[in-house]
This record gives sequence, C-alpha cells and structure tokens, in this order.
Amino acid sequence: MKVAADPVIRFDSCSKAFSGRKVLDAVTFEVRRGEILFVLGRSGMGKSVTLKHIIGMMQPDSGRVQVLGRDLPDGLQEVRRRCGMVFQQPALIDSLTVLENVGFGLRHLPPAEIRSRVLEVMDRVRLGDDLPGILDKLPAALSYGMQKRVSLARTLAPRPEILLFDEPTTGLDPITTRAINRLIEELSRSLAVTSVVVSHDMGCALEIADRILVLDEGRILALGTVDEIRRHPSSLIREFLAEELSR
Amino acid sequence: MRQALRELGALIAFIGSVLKSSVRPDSIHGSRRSLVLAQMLDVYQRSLVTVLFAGFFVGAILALQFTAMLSVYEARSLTGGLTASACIREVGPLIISFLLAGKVGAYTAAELGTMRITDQIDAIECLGTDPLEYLVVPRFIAIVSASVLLLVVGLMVALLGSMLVASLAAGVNPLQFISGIPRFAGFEVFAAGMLKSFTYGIIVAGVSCHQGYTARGGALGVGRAVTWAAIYTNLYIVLANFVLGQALDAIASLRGGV
Amino acid sequence: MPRLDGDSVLSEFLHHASVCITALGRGAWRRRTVTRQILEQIASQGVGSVPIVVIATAFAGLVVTMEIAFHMDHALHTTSMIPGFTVQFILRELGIVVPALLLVSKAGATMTAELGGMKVTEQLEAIQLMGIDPVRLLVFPRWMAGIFSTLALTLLAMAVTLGGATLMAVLRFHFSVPEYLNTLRHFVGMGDLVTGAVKALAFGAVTPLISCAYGFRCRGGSDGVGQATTRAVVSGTIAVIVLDFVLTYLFTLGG
Repeated sequence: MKVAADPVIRFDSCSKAFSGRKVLDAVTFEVRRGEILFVLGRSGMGKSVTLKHIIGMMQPDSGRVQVLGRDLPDGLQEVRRRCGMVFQQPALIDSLTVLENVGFGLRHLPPAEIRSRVLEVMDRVRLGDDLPGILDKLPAALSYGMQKRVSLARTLAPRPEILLFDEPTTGLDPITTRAINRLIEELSRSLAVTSVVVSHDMGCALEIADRILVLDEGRILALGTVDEIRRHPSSLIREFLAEELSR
Repeated sequence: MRQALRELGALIAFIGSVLKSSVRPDSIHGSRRSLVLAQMLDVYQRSLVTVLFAGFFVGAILALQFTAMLSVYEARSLTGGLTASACIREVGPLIISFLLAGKVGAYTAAELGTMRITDQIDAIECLGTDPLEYLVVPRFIAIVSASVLLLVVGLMVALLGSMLVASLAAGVNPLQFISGIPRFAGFEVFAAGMLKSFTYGIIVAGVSCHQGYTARGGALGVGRAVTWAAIYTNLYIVLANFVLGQALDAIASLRGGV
Repeated sequence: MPRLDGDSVLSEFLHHASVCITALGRGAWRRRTVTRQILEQIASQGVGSVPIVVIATAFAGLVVTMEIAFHMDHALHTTSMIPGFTVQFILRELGIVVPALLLVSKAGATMTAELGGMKVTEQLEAIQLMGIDPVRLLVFPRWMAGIFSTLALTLLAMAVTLGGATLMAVLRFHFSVPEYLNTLRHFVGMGDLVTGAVKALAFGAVTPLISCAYGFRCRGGSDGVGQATTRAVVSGTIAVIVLDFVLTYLFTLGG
C-alpha cells in the first residue's frame, strides 16, 4: 500500500451555504495520489456537496478548489475528462442501451474502439460472463445490482485518474455491497486511481480506506489513517465505531 | 404573483442558457442532427393525429358559428375566408399550442424530471457532455418546429372540416368557399399566424423543459413539474397572445396609415 | 382517431358513468359524508381553478374583440356590428369552451394523477377489499363537483370575457357601455342561454369521468402516472371539441 504524497485534490478554506445554513465551513484538506479516502458523517453534513465541488457541479461561496493542479471552475472540461463520478443511483440513461451508456463518455472515438473499450470495462466490473447479450439491453431490463455495475463501468470507460463515489452501497444487499467494495479497492490498487468515497458505512471504511475524513456541521472533525480514527477521542466517532462493532 | 414573476425570470434565464448551448456545439461530437431528427419524429408521432382530429372539428365548429352569424348579412360565402383567417391568426396557433402542451409538453416535463431526480442529467454532465445541448436543445427545436408545421397541417384539415359543414349544413358552394379564402388569408395574415405559432412553441418548449430540468424531490417533484408546466404554459400563452395581437395590430395600423 | 388505449379506458369510463348516474338517482349526495367530499372537491377543482380561468378569459375577451373587429372590417367594411358578434361568440363558444379546456388541463390532470397514484400504490384494491365500491367512493364526489364547478366557472368565465370584450370595445373602438348592454338584450335570446347551459353541463359531466377513468386504468411506476395524465388531458380536450361540435350542430339546426 504505497501512497505517494503529492496532492491531486486540494480544498483551501472552502465555505458553502444553502439558504443561510453552512454546509461547508472553511474546509481545508488534501487528497493524495493513489489513496482511497473515505468521507464519513451524518446525513446532510456536506459529504455529497464535497464531491460535487470536486467535479465542478458546485462552486464554493468562498475558498478555492484545485483538482489535478487546475483551479476550478477554469479547468472544468479537463477535470471532468480526468475524473469519474459514481452516483448513489445507477443513473443510467434509460433511453440508451447498455453499450451506448457505457460508451457515452467515449463518443469522440471510432465505433470499433468504443466497443473494445466497453468490453474491457465490462469485464473489469465482472459483467464479462453476461457479454455480449447484455450490451443491447435497455437499463430497465437489468437487475438493480447489475445496473450499479454497468454504471460503474460507464464511469471507468474514459479511464479516469480520480474516482468519486457517492454512497456507492446504500440500499444494496450485504453480498452486493461487499462485491462493490472489493471492486472499489481492486480498481484503486490495480489502476492506481485516486478514490474519494462518500459513505456512512464505517465498516467498509475501516476495511478498505487509506485515510478517513469525518465531517460534522460543515467542519472537519477528524482526518487520519484508519488507526488514527480508531483512537480518536470524539464522541461522534466513538458512536460510529461502537455501532459498527455491535453489528 | 411574485412567484410567477420569479418563475418568468428563471424561464428567460433558462432559455438564454439553452441558446448559448445551441450556438456552441462542442460536446456531442457531431451527433446533433440525429438527436434533433429523433426528437422531431417523436414529437410529430405524438401530436399529428390529435392535431388532425382536433383541427377538423374546430374548422367545423367555426363554420357553424360563422354561417349562423353571416346569414344575417346574406354573406355566407365568406365562411371559407373567415374560417381560414380565424384559424391562421388566432384559433389555430392557440389550439395547437394547447394540444402540444398537453401531449408533448407534459411528457417532456415528466421525462426530463425523471432524468433529473434519478441523477441521469448529473451523470451526463460528469461524463463531459453538456446536458442542455444533449437533452434540451433537440427537444426545443423539435417542439418549436412542430408548432409551426402543425399550424399548416391543422389549417388544411380545419378548412376541410369547415367546407364540409358549410356545404352540408348551410348550403355554401365549395367553390365559393375556396375562392373566398385568398381575400382573407394573404401573406400578412399567414406571417402573423406563423409568428404566433413560433412564439407559443418557444413557450411550450421553454416551460416544459425548464420545469422538468429543474425538478426536485422524488416522484412527487416530477408530478409537480408536470402540473406547473401546464399552468405556466397556459398563462404565458394567454399573455403572449394579447401582447402579440396588440403588436401586430400596431404594425398593421402603422403600415395602413390609419 | 386518437387512441383511447384499447377499449379498457372506454369501458372503465362507461362503468364510471353508470355507477355515478345510479348513485345520483338514489340520491347518494344527501349522505353527509358524501356531501362533505363533494364540497372538498369543489374547493380543490373549482376554487383552485378560479385564478387561471379569470386571467385567461379576461385576455380572451380583450383579444376576441380585436379579432372580430379585424374580420368585420375586412369582410363587411363596418365595425358597427362588433358588440353583437362578440357577445354572440362569447356566449355560444368562447365563454364555455375556454373554461372547459382549462378545467381539463388543470383540475382533470390533478384528478388523474391523484387516482393514478392511488391505483399504483394499490389503494384502490385495498378499498375494494373492504367491500366498498371505489368508483362510488372516489369518482362520484369528483363527478358531482366537476359538474357544479364547470357550471359555476362557465358563468364566471362568461362574465369576465364579456367584461374584457367590453373594455376593449370601449377603449379601442369607442363604444359606450350602455350600447354594449343594449346589444346584450338585443342579440341574446333564451336559446343562447339554453345552449350555453347544456354545453357546460355536458362538458362538466363527461370530462371528470374521462380523467377518473384514466386514473383508474393507470399502469405501474412513476412513468405510468405521468402517461395516464398526459393521455387523460388530450382525450379530455378532444372530447370537449367533439362534444362542442355535436351540440353546436344540433342547436344551429334546431334553432
């Protein structure tokens, strides 16, 4: 588990408020190249907002976001090209086939190349056995777990350097959850991509994260390695940990 | 009232950003033409039969009313011209936009609203494609062009219905009926109708796309988007009808020197 | 012919119609719970639609005067007949059809969405399992309220449209208000009032049942409710136009 120290994402005292309520309050942190960073916290405490700032779907009210050395929103197009986002829902475009969905980010390439790239990523998300029959199906014809995998494949197809996951396992059964978590870990290690995972699942954070960031009331409550988080004195984190142990 | 104004402001801003997305086609890799064609086909398929059906009966109703009114003046032969003129200038654009709003507008609001709440629009954006350009611009073009083209088609069947009823129920000679049309439906009348249809098309497309695109709050939110799309469309069309009528009237009287 | 979605919606519609008419014959509206439901429905369908009806018909009144003036000038080279033709057109067509169409797209759509939502979440089946006829429970009050709201809103729409038309005639074409009222007496006979009442009654009795039938035949999923609503609005619109033609035809031939 080698982690290089150069930062690929940098938040510089970013603040964001919605109708007067501060969701991010002067947040500063960095994500290092190649690591898996879990962002934990209670619901509505700015976790998803953080992700949306990284991919430029939101801009901070004050402060600065830098991704891959580019300031946002100036470098937006480049950042989008090099980042991939996995949504909580599969978010597949329902009028397009699986092939068209997975190839959506590759449309500048010739069709033959799109197809081979699609086959490659489908294999990566363990849908290789279902090929090629699945390619021409519409998303509605697939099970929810399969849709999640196709969605993941779509994000991987443009070969992003940073992967952002928004609650990737919420609403899934334990077996699929474990499979998805394995997939995240494996992808990060074998493709050397940087992953930021928003979640409220302390269990899988302890299992696969390199570092954990805990947000509360728009502020950083803790940021550290798994061991550091385990020893953290905050009562909220203790509560999270206790709940995980009791399961 | 304040909410309606705020909504109007948001709508205008939305249409502005759609225009901006449409003049710099850089993110959909040359597939715009096929996207637009697919949407046009979809919109026409949805609305053509309804417009034909409604147009026929609207023409027939107008014929009944006009022959009754004109018979006082022994001027039934003017029925054709009056039906044509009324259909192009007023009734046609209104009925067609009303049907388009019900048939296509509601569907568009629901479709885009569903895509919004299931994160599909965000996903498109994150994959480096401008969702306005990919989703909204083709629908916009399809709906506006449908509004204008359907006016011509609807006019034809309205005249047919009108002629049929006028000759069967009021004994107007079909030849007289047709020969009376050019006197009333000249180029200016036609241009006025086209302008109205074009404007209402923009309203239907703009309101339904905007409501769907900005939907929030689950399936309920999609339902709300559809309902509000219908209400705002009706409201804006009524207002636009008045404003355009006044404006065209002013132009006509300026040119006529009255 | 626009599709009525096979014969399923049509048969649903006929079923609703027969249940409602039977309930009406039995005097079901006198039961206190039913009366309350009817009043609630009137509040949501009728009162809720007042703003849009008032705004739309006021402008329709302004515009119809201009249109008729334009055509009169063109056809008969006189504008003296503006009041007569305008008043006739408003009382025979405009003041009746415009509120009916607005009700279809607002109150009707709301009903379809509401009942469709109940259908999708299996509430209709649940009601049936309790031994209650969902049509009588849900559709009958909506139907009664629809008839009443349509009649009331038609009266309101006629008044507002006439007001708008008079305003435009006075401001633009220099008629006086007494002149206009005089025309009203001259050109409007009992026949027009009967025509208007019968048309409004027909629209009010038919369109709520169409909206309800589409709601009851709604298919699963959030997409299903949207589709049912769209189809209900379009079918309701077509129904208004066709009914209007048939009634106009009968009345002009009879009168």
